[in-house]
Amino acid sequence: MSTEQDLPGVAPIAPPAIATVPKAPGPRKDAAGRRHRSLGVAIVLDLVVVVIGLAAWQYAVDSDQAGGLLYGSPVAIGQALVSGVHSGELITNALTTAVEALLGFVVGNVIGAAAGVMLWYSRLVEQMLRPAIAFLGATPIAALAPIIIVWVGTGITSKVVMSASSVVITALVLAFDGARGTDPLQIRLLRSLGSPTSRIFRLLVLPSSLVQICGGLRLTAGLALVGAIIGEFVSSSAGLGHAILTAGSLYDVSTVLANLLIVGLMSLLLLGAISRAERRVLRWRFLALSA
Amino acid sequence: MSNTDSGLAAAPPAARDSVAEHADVVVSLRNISMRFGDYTAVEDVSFEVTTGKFLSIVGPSGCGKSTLLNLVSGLSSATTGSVRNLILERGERMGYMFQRDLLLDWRTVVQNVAVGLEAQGVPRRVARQNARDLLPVYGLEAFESYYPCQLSGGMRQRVAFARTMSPNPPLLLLDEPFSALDYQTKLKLEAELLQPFRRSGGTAIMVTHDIDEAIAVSDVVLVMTGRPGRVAATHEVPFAAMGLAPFEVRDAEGFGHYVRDIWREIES
Repeated sequence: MSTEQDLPGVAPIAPPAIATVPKAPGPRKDAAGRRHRSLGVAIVLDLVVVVIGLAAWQYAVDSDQAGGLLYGSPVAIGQALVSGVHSGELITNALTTAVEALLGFVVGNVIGAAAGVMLWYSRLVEQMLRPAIAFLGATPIAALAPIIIVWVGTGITSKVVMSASSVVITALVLAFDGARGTDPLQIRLLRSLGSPTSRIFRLLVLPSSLVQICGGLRLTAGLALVGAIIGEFVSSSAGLGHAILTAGSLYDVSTVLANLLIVGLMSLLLLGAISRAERRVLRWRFLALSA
Repeated sequence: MSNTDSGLAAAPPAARDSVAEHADVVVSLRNISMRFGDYTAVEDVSFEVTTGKFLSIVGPSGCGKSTLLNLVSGLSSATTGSVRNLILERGERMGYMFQRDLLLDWRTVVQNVAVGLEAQGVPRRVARQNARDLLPVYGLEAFESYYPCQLSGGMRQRVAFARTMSPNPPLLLLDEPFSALDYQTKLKLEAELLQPFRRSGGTAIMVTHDIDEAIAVSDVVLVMTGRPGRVAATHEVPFAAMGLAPFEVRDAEGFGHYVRDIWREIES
């Protein structure tokens, strides 16, 4: 609506009324037509559901004596947590398991990812190892546990080995997949620029596999924790798995659940750290695309 | 402006061995045929490219244009005929531009340009400094720290070109480098990338299906017919040598004639 000087003798022309399509009311919809509400709404709803669920659970337990013993109760879980923290036992156990799982996570991923990208180098070695990898991948760790104890004893090493064993095959498969997915035209380009295979590997294949390797980190975070805990089930003197086993044998359901809660929280913490690291390493993936 | 010693001389058979002595000739194909079993990709193709000349090969799809480029680069060998490539013989490296930019997603613009030298073993810091100095030449100074995913197709091809040129290749092979871009971007890149290349005396062979583009930037246009690919005609075009910008060429006197003639030759 410009404010132009009215010409004498000429009536000002009103701008034509432009019909506007009213914006559809209600929540935004994405391309697939799904509704989008803010994250805050989801969190609030989550908390509400959890609180209601816990209250219902506690009520059910209070009105039935046997229920508390069989299913545990939120109050009892809370008590187990508090007393665990007080005595320091929960902290010690949590730290023990955390160290085992973290070491297993790192060792397993380093060995697995390194082996996976190395397989890219030699097709012959890859073909040779393929059945072995499939075989190992299908073997449950729990089955290997007793053997591992025999081999490395009952100390922390056995738990780390178990944790790493749970991780290594997955990390290997994903890293190899990432390496194999390198754009063949880019390989050809680097070769035409005069790169020997080793330089192609360093400049192209390795960074190109990082996306898959990071995906592997997310997958194996939980696996590493599980591996450590299974190790503790088989033989241990400390750790969350040890606590779960002990409480379980005493039918102390609430303590079991309390420790499980801590395990879950540790898993979330690890995943959060991985996500943050991924955002730094793969920062180009999180950039807005050009219009 | 006579073009008697421009890129296309029908060399007499007796002079075949003088290719090596004729220091000007960079690439020479004589009576090339390429057969894959029963299928003949190209038949009896001959042409030469001398230093500082820009040769374009136009033709319908399937006429073997890319096959010829592969022969020149040494990637494949001809079924019959001879290919001489001075650059290969000297053990030097050629530059390649493809339709796809092949940029590395995890590297910024300057880091991608540096790949041109890093791939040859030049230390990273040197390569990166060289790349940084090269950015203004191709209009990329403002985009030094951008990632490929943040750039348009035209910008990406600019980066690819800078990468290709950073090791200063004596011969440039281009395989439909701008065919994926829109008309305006294409014109811009022809003016901002290919023209400076010409001015610096570079030698190039470009495959394209865009007749206008071929006439606008080349010294010689080789017209191929469809399956099997044969040379329908060779045109020496004066426009680029006159220093006309690609979009000025389209207005120039005689441009339309060339387009019509070439179009007819392709269709025949």
